[in-house]
Amino acid sequence: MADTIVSIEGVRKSFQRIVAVDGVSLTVGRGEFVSLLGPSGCGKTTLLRMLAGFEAPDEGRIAIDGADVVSVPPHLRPVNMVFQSYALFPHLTVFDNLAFGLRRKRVPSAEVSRSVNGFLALVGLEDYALRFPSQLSGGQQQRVALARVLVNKPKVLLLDEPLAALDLKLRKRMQLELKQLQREVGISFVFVTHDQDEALALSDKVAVMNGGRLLQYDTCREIYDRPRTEFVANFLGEANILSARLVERGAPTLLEISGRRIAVSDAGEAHGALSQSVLLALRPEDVSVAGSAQEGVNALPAAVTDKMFLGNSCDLFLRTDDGVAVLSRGLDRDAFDRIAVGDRVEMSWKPTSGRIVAP
Amino acid sequence: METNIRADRGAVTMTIDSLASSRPSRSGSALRTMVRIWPLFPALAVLVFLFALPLALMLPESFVVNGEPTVAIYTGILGDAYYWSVIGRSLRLSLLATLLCLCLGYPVAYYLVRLVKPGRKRIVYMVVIAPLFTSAVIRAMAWLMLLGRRGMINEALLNAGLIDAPLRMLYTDGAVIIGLVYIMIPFMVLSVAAVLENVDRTLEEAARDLGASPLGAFWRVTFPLTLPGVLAGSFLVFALCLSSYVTPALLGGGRNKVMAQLIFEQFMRLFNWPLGAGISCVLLVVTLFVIWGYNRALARSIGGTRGGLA
Repeated sequence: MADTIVSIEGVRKSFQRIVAVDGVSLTVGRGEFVSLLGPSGCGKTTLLRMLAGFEAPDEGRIAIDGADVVSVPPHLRPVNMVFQSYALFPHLTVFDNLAFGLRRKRVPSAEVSRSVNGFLALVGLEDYALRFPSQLSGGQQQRVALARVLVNKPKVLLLDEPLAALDLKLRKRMQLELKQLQREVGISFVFVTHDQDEALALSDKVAVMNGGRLLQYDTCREIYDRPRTEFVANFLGEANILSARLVERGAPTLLEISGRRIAVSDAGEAHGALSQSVLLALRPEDVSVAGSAQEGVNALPAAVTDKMFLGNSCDLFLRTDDGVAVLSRGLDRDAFDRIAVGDRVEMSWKPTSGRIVAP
Repeated sequence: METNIRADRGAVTMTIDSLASSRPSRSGSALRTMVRIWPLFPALAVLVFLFALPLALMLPESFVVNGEPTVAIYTGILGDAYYWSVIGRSLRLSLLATLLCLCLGYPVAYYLVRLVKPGRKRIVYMVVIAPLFTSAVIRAMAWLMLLGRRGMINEALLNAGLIDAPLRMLYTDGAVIIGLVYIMIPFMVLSVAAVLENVDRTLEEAARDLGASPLGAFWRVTFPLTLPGVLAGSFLVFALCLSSYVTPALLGGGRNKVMAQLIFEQFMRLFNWPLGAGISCVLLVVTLFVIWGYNRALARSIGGTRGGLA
C-alpha cells in the first residue's frame, strides 16, 4: 500500500544489557491489519510499546502519519492501545470507561454521550453502559476494551495479545469480530501475537520476529509459501526441513539429497554456495506418498514410522534414509488406509512446493 | 491512659471489621453463625477481656456520685465550655495531624510500591517501620531537644544570624502536630501501600494512552482506586492521635490539654474516677462518631467515584 501511516526505521532498544529490539524497520499502510508474530521475548511487545510511547527507542525513528513521535509522550500520540489484561478502569462504569479518552480531549458532553453510545452499540453492549467491568464476562470486557479505544478514532490501533485470555471458542469468535470491526472502522491495526493461526486469520501482513530481529515482513500468503528462514518456515505453519547439497543454480535450481536429484523451481535468493549444504523446507500438505514415481516430481525413499488419522487430515510420519523425520499430510483417506507402519515408500513433492531457506 | 489507648484500638478493629464485611450477614441459626465466625474467637476473647470488660466496669462508675445514681457527671462535662474547648482542640490537632500524615505518607507509599527497585523494597519498608520500634516517650524527648528554647533548631538559627531571639516552638500546637505526624506516619504509609500494591500499573498506562497527562492519570485512576487505603489509614491515624497521651503531654506542655491528658489527670492525680470515666466515655463516643462518619464517607466516596469523578 502506497499510503503509509506508521514508519519504523532502524529501531533499537535494550534493557540493561539485553537487546529487546535490534534494528527493526517496517511500515504499516493506512487501513492495514499488521501482526507482529514471534515467540515470547522476541521484542514484539517492546516494539508495540515504543509505538504507544511507553518505551523510547535507543536508536532509530518512529513516525506516525508522517510526524516523528519519538519524543512525543503517550497521551499526545494519535494511537491507542488495547492491553493484554484489558486494563479497564474498575472504578468506572462501562460508559465512563468509554468516555475517558473523549473527556480528556474536552469533547462536549452531548457529543461524548452520542459517540460512546454509538460505539457501545457497535460492539453490542448498549445495555451494559452502567455496569462495572467486574460485572462483565471476559468476552464483554474484551469488547469494552476495544470500544474504549475505537471511540477515540486513533490513526493506529495497537493490540497487545488482546485475545490471549479468552478460551478457544470465544477466541475464534472474537477473531472474526475483530476482523469485521477493523473493516468497518477502517483504522490500521498493529496486532501483537504469538499465535500463528491468529496472525494468519486476521492479518493483511505479518512481521515475524525472533531475538529482537525482524526476520520477514510480508503478506500471509507470501510468508507461508516463501519463508526465507528455517525459523519462519517453522513458526508460521509446520515445515519439514531437509538438508541438501546445492548442485546447480538456475530454473529449476537443482539439489542433491541421498544421491537423488531434487528440483526447486523458485529458489528465490538461493542461500549458500555451489556444492555447499543448504536447507529445503517442505510444507506437510505438499508431501505425498506416490505409489509409482511420476515424471517431473521430486521423490525420496522413506520408511513409514507412524500414522495418525485426525479426521480432517491424514498424517504420515516418515523417516528418510538420512534419518530425517518428515511429516506428510498430502494423502487422501483411501491411500492412507493402504499404507502400513513399516512400509517403504517414495515420498514426493512438486518442484514448485520446495523452498530453500536460510538456517 | 492504657485503657483509653486500648479502647481506641478496639474501636479501630471493630470498624475495620465492619469495613471488611460490606455485605450484611444473612441471619442463620446461632450455631451456624458460631461456626462461620470461629476465626474471630481469639481476637474476640482479647477484646472482651481487655476492652469490653474494663469498659463495662468503668462506665457505671460515671453514673454514680456519692452512692446515688445520676447523670450529673455528663451534664457537668457537656455543660462546661472548657471541656468543649478541649474536645475541639483534640479533634483539631488529630485532624490536622491526619491530613499531614496523608500528604506526607501517600507519596512515600507511592514511591515504595511503584518507584523503588524490587530488591530495595524491603529496605525502604524497614526504614518506614523502624521508628515504631522506639518508644513514643523517647521520640517525644528527641523533639524536645530539637524544638526547645535552647534546642538545636533555635541554636542553629541564632548562630546563622537568622533570628535575634529564640523562637517559641515547643509547647505549641505545632509541636504536638509535628510529634504526632512523626509517630503516626508509618501507619498511613502502610495502609496506603497495602492497597496500592493491588492496583494494576497498566491502568495508569491505559489512562496515559487515552490522553491523560501523568498527573491526570494518577488523579483520575490510581488515586480513586487507593481511596479505601487512604480512608483506612486516615482513621487509624486519627483514632490513634485522638487517644495519644505522651506526645501532647510532652510537646504541648501543661496549659493546652487534650482529652487524653484530662483523663489521665482525673484518674491518676485527682483520683476522681467518676469524672475520669465520664470523660473517657465522651472521648469514646466522639471517636465512634468520627469513625462512623469516616465509614459513611468511605462508602460514599467509592460510590461517588464510581458515579462520575472522571
